[in-house]
Amino acid sequence: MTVDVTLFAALMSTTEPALPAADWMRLYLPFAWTVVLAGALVALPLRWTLGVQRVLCGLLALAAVLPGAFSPVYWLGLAFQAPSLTSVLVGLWCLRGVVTGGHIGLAGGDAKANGLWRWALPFALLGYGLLFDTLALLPWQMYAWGFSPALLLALLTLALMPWSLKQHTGVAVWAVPAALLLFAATRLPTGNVWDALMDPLLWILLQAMLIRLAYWHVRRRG
Amino acid sequence: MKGLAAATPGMRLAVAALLVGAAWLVDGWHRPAPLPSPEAQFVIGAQGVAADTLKRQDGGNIPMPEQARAAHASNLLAMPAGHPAAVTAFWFAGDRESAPNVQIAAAQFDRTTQRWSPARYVVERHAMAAQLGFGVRRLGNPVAWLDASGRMHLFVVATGWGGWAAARVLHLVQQGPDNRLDHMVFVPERVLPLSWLWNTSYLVRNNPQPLTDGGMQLPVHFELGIKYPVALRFDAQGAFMGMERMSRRNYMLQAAFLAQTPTDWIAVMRDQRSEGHVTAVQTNDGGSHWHDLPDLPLTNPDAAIAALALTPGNSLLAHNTSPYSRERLDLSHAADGLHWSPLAALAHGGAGDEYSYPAMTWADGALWVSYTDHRRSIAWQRFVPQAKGAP
Repeated sequence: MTVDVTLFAALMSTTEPALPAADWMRLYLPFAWTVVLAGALVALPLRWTLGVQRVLCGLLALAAVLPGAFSPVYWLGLAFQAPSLTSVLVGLWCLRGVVTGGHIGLAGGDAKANGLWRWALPFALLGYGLLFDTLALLPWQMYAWGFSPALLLALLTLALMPWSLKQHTGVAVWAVPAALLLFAATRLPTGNVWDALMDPLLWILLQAMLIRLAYWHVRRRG
Repeated sequence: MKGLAAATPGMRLAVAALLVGAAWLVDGWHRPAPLPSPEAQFVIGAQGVAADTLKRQDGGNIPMPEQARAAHASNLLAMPAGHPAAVTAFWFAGDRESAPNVQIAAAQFDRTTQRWSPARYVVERHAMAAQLGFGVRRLGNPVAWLDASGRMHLFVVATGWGGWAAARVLHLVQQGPDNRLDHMVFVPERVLPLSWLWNTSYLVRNNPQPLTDGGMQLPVHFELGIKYPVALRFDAQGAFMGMERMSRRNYMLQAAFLAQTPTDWIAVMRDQRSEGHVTAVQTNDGGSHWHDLPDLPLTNPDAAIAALALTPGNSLLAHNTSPYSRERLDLSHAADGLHWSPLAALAHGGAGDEYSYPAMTWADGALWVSYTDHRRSIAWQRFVPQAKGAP
C-alpha cells in the first residue's frame, strides 16, 4: 500500500519538473520558428510554384540564423517565446509538400482530410482552460499540473486512442502523440507539457479552423 | 506507417501501451530526486537579536553609475563571511523606468573600507538577448540569491512586447567562480516557465525565503490586469522545482515571506486597491499550500513593502505608512508577523516626495535597508542592535 501511495504521489507531483537544457532551448527556438513559418507559408492557399516555395523556405531558414534583431526569431521569441512541439510537427507535415510537390492545406476541406478537425474542439476548450487558469479564474492550478508525470502519461494515452481504438489516420493522429513522446525525451520547449502540446497561436489557428468548418457545414446543408 | 495503420486492434493497443510505458521511463529518467518538505532557514547571525533594539548607525546614498538619471527597485544580498564585501546591492538604472537604456546596476559595501564601491552595470538587455536568442525589451526588478555552493543567482524582470504586464522572469547565474563586483558576470539560465499564455506577465520583486535544504522559495506575481502572488521553489543548486499559487484574490502583488516557525510562514503583500491595506496569506507547510488571511490594519498606498524574519517571533517590515502617497517610509517590528509596532522612520518627506521600494537584509550583525530615493538614486541605512535600555 505504501508503495502504491508513493508511486501515486510521484506521478502526481508537480515539484520535480525536468526542464530542458539551456543549449537545447537555444537551438530549438530558431529551428522551431523556421519550421512553423515555412509550414505556414506553404500551407497558405496561394498558387506558388514548387520552386518559389523552396526558395522562400530557404530564405526563411537563412533569416532565422541572422544575428540579433535582423532575425525574425528575435522578434517572434520576444513576443511569443517558442512554438509548441505540435506546431513544429504540423509545420513539418506541411513541408512535405515542398519535397513531394503537392499542396498541403490546413483549413476547410483540407482540415477534414488531414484529421486536424478531430483535435480542434478539444484543443480549443483546453486553451480556454489554460487561459482561465492564467487569470486565476479556476480553483485549481492547471499550468502547474503540466510539470507532473501523470499529465504527460494521461495526455499520451488519450492522444493514442484515435489510432489504437478506431484506426484513425491523418497528421493529427500522429502529430500529438509524437509531440508528447518528443517532450518526454527532450523536455522542449519549456519543461511543461502544456507548452509542448499547444501554444496560443496554434490555439487561435484551431479556433479559426473550427469556425471555417462550421461555415462549410452550414453552407453545405443550406 | 502503412504497417502500423494495418495492424490488428490488439497490436495497436500493445504498441500504444508500449509507447506510454517508454514515455514514463524516459520522463522518470529526466526528473530530479524529490526534495524534502520545505523548512525555512532563519537569518544566520541574528540569533539573540531583538528587533525592537535596532538603532540606526549610518546611511546615505549608494553611488550611481555614470550618467544614470533614474534608479529604482533595489535589492540587497548579504555576502558570505570571508568575502571582501558585506552586502551587494542591485537595482535598475537608466534614463527613466522602462527606458530602453535601463540596465541592472550593482555596488558592493567593502568590509575593510566600510564604503560602497562605485556602481557598475552587470546586466544589459542586448547582451542577454544575444545569449537567449530572442529579444528583451526592458529590464527591471533584480532579486539576488546565493545557492548552497555560494554561486550568485539573479532573477530579473525582462519584458516582451508591451510594458510590465508583458514581463517574464529571467533567471541569470554567475559565470565563473568570482563574484566580486569587478569580476561579476551573469549569463542567462532560462526564462522561468510560469504561464501558458506566451509565458507572459510574471514579475519578481522581493527576496526569497532560504530553506534548510539549501534551496529557497521565491515570491513572484502575475499582473496582467489582475494581480496575484505565486511561490516558486528552487533546489540547493538553483534549479526550478515548481510553483504554487498563493491566493486567488486578484489585487495582491510583491509578496514578502515572514517565517514564524520553519513551516508556518506569513506572506505580506502590496495592495493594488484604492485605500488598500497590507494584505496577508499564510502557509503551514513551508509554502506548499497557502490560505488567505484578513487584511492587516496597516494602510498601503499601492506601494512595495519589504519584510525580514530574523528569528522566530522577530520580524521586520519596511513600508510606506501614508495612505495615499509614498512620502513616508517606516520600519516596523512584530512578534507574529501580523501585529506591527513602529520602530524607526526611514524617510519622511512632504508632498511630491517619494521614498519607496524598500529592501532589507542582515549582514555583519546589522540590518541593512535600501530604498528608492525620488526615483533618482538608491538610499541605504544600517541598523545595529543596542543593549536594552541604551539611549
